[in-house]
Amino acid sequence: MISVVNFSQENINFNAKPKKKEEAEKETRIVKNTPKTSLRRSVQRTSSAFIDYPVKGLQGDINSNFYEFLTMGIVPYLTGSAMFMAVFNCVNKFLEAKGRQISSIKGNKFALGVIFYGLFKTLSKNFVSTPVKLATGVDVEMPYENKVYNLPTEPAESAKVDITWQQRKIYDSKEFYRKDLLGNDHFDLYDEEVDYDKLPKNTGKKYYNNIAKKLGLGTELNDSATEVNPIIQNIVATSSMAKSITSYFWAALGVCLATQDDWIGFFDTIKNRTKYVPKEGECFVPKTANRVRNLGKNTLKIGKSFINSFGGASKSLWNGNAISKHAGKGLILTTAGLTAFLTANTIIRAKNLAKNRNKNTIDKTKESMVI
Amino acid sequence: MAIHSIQSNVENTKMQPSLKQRRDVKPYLEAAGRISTEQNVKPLPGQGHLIHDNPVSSVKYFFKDINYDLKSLKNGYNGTANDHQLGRLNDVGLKLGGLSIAAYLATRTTNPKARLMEFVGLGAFLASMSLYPKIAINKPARIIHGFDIDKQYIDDQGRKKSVFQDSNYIPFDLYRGEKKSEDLDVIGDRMGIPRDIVNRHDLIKEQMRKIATQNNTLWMLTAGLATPAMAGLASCALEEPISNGLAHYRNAKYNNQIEEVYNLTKNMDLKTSSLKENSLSKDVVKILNKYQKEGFLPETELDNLIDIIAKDFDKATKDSLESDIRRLFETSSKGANQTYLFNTEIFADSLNLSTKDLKARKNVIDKYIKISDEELKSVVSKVLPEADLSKGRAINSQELDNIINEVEKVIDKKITSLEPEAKAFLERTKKSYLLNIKDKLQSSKTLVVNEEVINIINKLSMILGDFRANQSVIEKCQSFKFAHAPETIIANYSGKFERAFLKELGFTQKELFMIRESTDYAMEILEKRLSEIAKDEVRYSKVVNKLVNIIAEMENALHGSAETESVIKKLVIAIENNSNNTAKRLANLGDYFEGTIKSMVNEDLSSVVNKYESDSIFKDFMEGILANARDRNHKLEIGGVGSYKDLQIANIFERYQGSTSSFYRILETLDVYKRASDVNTYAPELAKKHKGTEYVNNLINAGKKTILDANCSDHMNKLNTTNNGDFFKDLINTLFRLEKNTDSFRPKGALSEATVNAAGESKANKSVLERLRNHIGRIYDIVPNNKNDFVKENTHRINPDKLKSYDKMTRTEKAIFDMLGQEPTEFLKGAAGRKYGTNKWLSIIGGITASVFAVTLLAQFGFGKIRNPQNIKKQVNDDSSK
Repeated sequence: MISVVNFSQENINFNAKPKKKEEAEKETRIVKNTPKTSLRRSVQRTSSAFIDYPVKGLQGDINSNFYEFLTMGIVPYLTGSAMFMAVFNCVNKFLEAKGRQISSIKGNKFALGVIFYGLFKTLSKNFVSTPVKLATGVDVEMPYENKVYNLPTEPAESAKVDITWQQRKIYDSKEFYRKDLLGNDHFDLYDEEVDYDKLPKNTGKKYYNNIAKKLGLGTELNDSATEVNPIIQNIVATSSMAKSITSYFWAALGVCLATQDDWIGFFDTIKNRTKYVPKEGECFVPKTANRVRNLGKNTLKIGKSFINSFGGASKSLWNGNAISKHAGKGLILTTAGLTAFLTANTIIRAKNLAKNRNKNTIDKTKESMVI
Repeated sequence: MAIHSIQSNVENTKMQPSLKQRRDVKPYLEAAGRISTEQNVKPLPGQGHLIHDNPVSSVKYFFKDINYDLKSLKNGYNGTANDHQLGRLNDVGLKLGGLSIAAYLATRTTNPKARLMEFVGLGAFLASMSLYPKIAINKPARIIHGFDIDKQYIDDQGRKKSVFQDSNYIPFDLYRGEKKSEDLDVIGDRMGIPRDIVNRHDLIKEQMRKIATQNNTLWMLTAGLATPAMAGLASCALEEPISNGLAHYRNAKYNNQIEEVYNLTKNMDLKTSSLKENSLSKDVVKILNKYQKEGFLPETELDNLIDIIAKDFDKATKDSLESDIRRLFETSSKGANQTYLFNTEIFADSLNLSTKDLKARKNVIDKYIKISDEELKSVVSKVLPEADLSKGRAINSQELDNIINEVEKVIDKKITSLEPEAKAFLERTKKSYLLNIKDKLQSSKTLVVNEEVINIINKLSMILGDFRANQSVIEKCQSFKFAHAPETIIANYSGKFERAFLKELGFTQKELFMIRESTDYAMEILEKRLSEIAKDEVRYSKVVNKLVNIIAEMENALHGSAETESVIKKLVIAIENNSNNTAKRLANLGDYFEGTIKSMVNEDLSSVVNKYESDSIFKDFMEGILANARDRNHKLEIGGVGSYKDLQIANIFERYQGSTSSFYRILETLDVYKRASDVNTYAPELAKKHKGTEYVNNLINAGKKTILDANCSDHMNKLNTTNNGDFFKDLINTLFRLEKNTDSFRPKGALSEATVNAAGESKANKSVLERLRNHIGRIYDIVPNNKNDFVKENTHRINPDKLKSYDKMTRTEKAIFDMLGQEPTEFLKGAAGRKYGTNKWLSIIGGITASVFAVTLLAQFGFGKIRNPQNIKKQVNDDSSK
């Protein structure tokens, strides 16, 4: 049913269900990229992907948007990983002893491979973004929180405008990256009164000046934002391509690492971990203390075993086996080489663009006609 | 106020072009001539359009997408890619990453099927990812709601996108009604939205948006569960056809290779002059040439050389080669040409006193005779002034004598001024001392490298290089046909046989589990099922026919088509020719490699197989049931036993016998149960003799148990089960019933009419039954009469004389083990364990997949619900009139 939307300014309730008063007062803003904020953003994205967005999506909510659809991609990623582990492990306990042993080693390796796939894929993006940030000043992973005023779902007087937050990245789009937020230092960029050095480093003219300086465009630019804009767009495109391609190679490397036999020791350590059995009549406090101590010991043991197995597996991957000695080397070198090459492509291309930016393209020695 | 997203203008409505006119409008850029814009100012017509659903466009966009992805890669690299292109690169990365995983894992195995399955798994995953939403969401949604939620369109920039991807931007203007499925009115009709309501299109669009959003969400929620499960199931389903196809292809390939190596080994030229260099000989000569100048080979290099030459040989042949080659190097310089290895260390060592006599005079020698280090150096520099002694040097007898003479001169200088008496004593001591030095120096013989040695070793390498090249092909072919490994012919057909057996006997999952867990239960249920089948003519015929067909197929796969000569026969001949001709070539080199020849062929240069011209006789020979098989064994006993050649051939025969015996035993079991289904016909003479069927019933019960459970232990079969000689004889005579009036040298088993009829009329199937008969006859002759580990010699033996016509080698415990095959209860246990695991996995993953599909399908019936559908017209009209 189509309902009439007809509300007056007074009816807009921007404070609908705010947890804190400040929540509604906050605007779309760049967020510092720290482990703490990363974790908070991941938790928010993941919980929303599993709870809020599916509810809205299944209702066909008018506010269920493309961002939410894309964010829900986390759901198949995680459930698919779990399902992959299940496909290779679900039958183990039903097999006879010998079959179970062989199958559980394979299954465990595969489960580890699934974990490594995700881990390597996520972490490897830093292999591109960190050098690019250091060399050009463009942090392609720069996050921001986007404030969304939802469309009212109730008609007339009862209409309320809810606020939702989206965890995005400034350079999610090459063509429409959030210049407005980068320039949002609350001062006119061309106001000479402003002491730009005192502004936050990642906003406003200072941000663009820094990029221009790193790219070699110089420091005395009239309008650094305009000068670096096409170069930033180029960096976004090339680094995005580099991340898209190389992260899957790193993920593949993770899977191949998990297939090495060196992990059997690690699986055994987990399987044979010491189990604490409380003595009869043991009080709660010593029981808990002993449990914690046992947990600590096990964690240490498993941690050591993980490090040993990781080292051994890396060596085995590099050295290969009797059937194939060079496949592992090939994969490692291809992955590392491709990452280095595509990252270098991003940086060199950006620097070259900067170098040619102010070149006088008109050959003054030749005769020209002014129309 | 109602929402009027489209400002309708009644006057202009008449001017709206018809659908046909709309199609005829030329885009602005293509319009030729003057364009009139009078009274008609409007935006340029859009270039975007929906992609019509038809196979042609699917194929067209499949290739266009690939092209677009490649372009995206290029633009991404150059930094000119747009957001849409960058988005698609993620999928490109996913596929490349997947390919690299599959490629790496494929390199970790030599099994071609396992290699292929890595890529099949990746393909199944990618296909599942793409097919799941199509099958479980898009198709049902289209049926339920009447429109395609996965509709694709081309935007103004020529980019392909999904219409409902972004619910905030749905290009509904592209629904121009060019096809029925793209006509909003038709879609509205399918949705059940009344025709005569205001803003009908708006309502339809809103419904489409809502349904698409709901379905897209459902897709995201369920894809993670469904895709891996579907990929797993698809891989599982594809495994058998891939295995069959690959086995067929590989079999043809290896049959050709056997043909080639057969011809190659048959025509090996025995003349050493016609040998050609190969990679082995090149490597070996390269090493030897390095040492030709120095004239001798260091010990470590000899080890290296032997490793290269004897690579891939068994231990015995390798040892023989090593001793032959060492002898060749050591003895190549004899008499006047004898050389010795000399260096400072050896020289210093030679000065140590070794005899008792000299040791007793140590004090005198140390005081008057002993050579100091400086003196030693001076001797060397005088005799061998140019020599570099760091690596050592080969010295001849003359040089050795010179060294001894020089040492004598040094000693003479020391003792010349002494008293005559002391001098005479020291003269004698000196002579012994010099002899001691000479002996020691002569003991370090050199591994001489001269032209003659190089020539012989070169020829040896050429011969063994040829041998190894042939052997490499032979071993690959042999491995593909017989190896105890996955995906060999024997393994594949064993799998087929056991699956068919389980299927025809029809066990439930619970029964499979219990069979796996308990041998007693396996026996009990197998007896029960076999008895049921034996009573049911149709089922019996079906199961026997199926199993005989599989054995016949295996024979065909092993030996090739019946019209051509047996491929296995050619393989065995190739093994014999390769070893025999290599041995002959080595013999032609001289008497240098007698040990190697012995290890390789053990004096047996004949080709046994060549004698058996008929394939049928060759197969008898393979199964060990040939009347004159003892010829071969006899020959081997005096000659070839244990040789490299014989071991290789024996390996083929044993693998073949082990597998076929297990198959035959199942057929024998079925036949025994068939015969035992009627107690009156099982053993009428014995029933008459014992006046009733009770004795026969006892025989039947014991016979059933024996055929299911008997193994190669005499104690187990004869004492633990039937510790009664007479009963044992009756048991064997009824269990292995023989054909009467046979003109064959060997007895043949008599099969029931039902078994013969069930096997079918084809030549191949009849041949299987014939072999089965022979097999039964052979068991009858050997097993009950054997006394390998049996103590009661005279009670449990039927006709011990029968054994005389069999060679000793066919009566060993190993031979009986191969002949009896796997016990049906054990066969069933193993098969049930495997089947149970597969079924369990299928039920878990299949169950998850089915549940996800069911939930996905059911959920769609709740999507797009309109509140108060009966009242919809009134509601919309009311809304619009506000």
